Amino acid sequence: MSHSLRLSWSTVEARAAQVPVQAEKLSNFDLILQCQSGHRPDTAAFAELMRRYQSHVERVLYHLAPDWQDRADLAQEVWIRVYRNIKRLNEPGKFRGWLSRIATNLFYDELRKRKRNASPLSLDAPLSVDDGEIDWEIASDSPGPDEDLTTREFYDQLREAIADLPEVFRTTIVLREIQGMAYEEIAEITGVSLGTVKSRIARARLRLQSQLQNYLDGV
Amino acid sequence: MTSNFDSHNSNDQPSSAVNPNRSHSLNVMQRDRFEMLSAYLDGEVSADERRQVEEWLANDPTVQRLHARLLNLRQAFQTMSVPLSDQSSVQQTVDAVLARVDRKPRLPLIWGGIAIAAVAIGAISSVLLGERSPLPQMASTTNQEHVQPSQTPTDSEMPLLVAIDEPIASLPKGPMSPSELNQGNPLPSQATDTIR
Repeated sequence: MSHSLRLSWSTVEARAAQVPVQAEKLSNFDLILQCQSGHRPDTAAFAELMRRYQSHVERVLYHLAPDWQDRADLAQEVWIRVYRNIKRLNEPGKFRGWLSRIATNLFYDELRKRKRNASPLSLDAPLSVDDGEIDWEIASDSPGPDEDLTTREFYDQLREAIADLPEVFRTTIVLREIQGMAYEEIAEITGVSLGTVKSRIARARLRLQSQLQNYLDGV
Repeated sequence: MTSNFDSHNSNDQPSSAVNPNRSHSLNVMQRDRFEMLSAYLDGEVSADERRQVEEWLANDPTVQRLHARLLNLRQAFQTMSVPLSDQSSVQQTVDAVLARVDRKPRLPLIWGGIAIAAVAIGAISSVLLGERSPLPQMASTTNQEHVQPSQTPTDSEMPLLVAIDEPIASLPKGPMSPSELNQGNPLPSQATDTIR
């Protein structure tokens, strides 16, 4: 009897050693902890982390740089940086925000490089948002979207309107609305004052709500 | 109750089409208020500003409508889909990243390489620069040894001359006469004189 018991224990131990924990079955939190343990992130765990969060990285980069064709390369750079620095993340629960920040910083690094090589337009140029006026007399009888088709059309219009915003306004409103950053954080990351952040966000919203008012009033 | 916003509109009777200057100042004022409403939406206002905006929201239909629009806009930002990679593209990214991190040298190796390079540069520079090398050097008396002979050359060279000119052991006189010896080689006698 005791002999058979000993056998079963050894079998259990052997199995536990062979299959540690499958990365796919870990919660996000445990998966990040797994990536933080050891000298380098465990390959299987890190691959799973990428599969889970790649859509978030793509989403952030899409809104920041809708007209860049090489966003996939930038996404790779994001993950290389995550791989090298994930051990420094003190609070695994804040991984998503940390990841957004890495993607945003890389985007700005790349943007600065491209601006150095491009013609001196953009940042110091007069802001084209000034040409828009607020229509305070909002037409109450504007047709509201009540079909799926209209909803889809609305999102197309919204994406287009965001992409058409001047770069500094687009990135600022994206950091606020998509990434949920506080003004202070945005000011730090974009290198401008709090007042400028506040103004840029308001002006971006001003233009978007003006362009999309027919849809927004009917939602 | 009428908000400041409405009162401002109603007090200025000429329409914006007739008076562009007034229209401009109105826009500035409207934008200031819009900015405050926008900041309010983000929770980035002072206590006074919050009270002000909440008063507009309670009483001004225009601000109420704008606020509703901005809330819808925020909701739309959250629910808006973007074109994302399919599963196979994601896996390609995963593979590409893992291949790159495997290929990269590890940080300790980099530091090790830097350390070895530093030692090599130090060694080379100490050879090439000699005494001007920034590396620490041992004290030596080489300079003094070089200088001393040049200062008093005769004192140190004299004993050597004497040693050459004077035979170590006296040679027995041969068949040659002293006169023959002097004719054949006058130097030894002169040298002897000089010493004396």
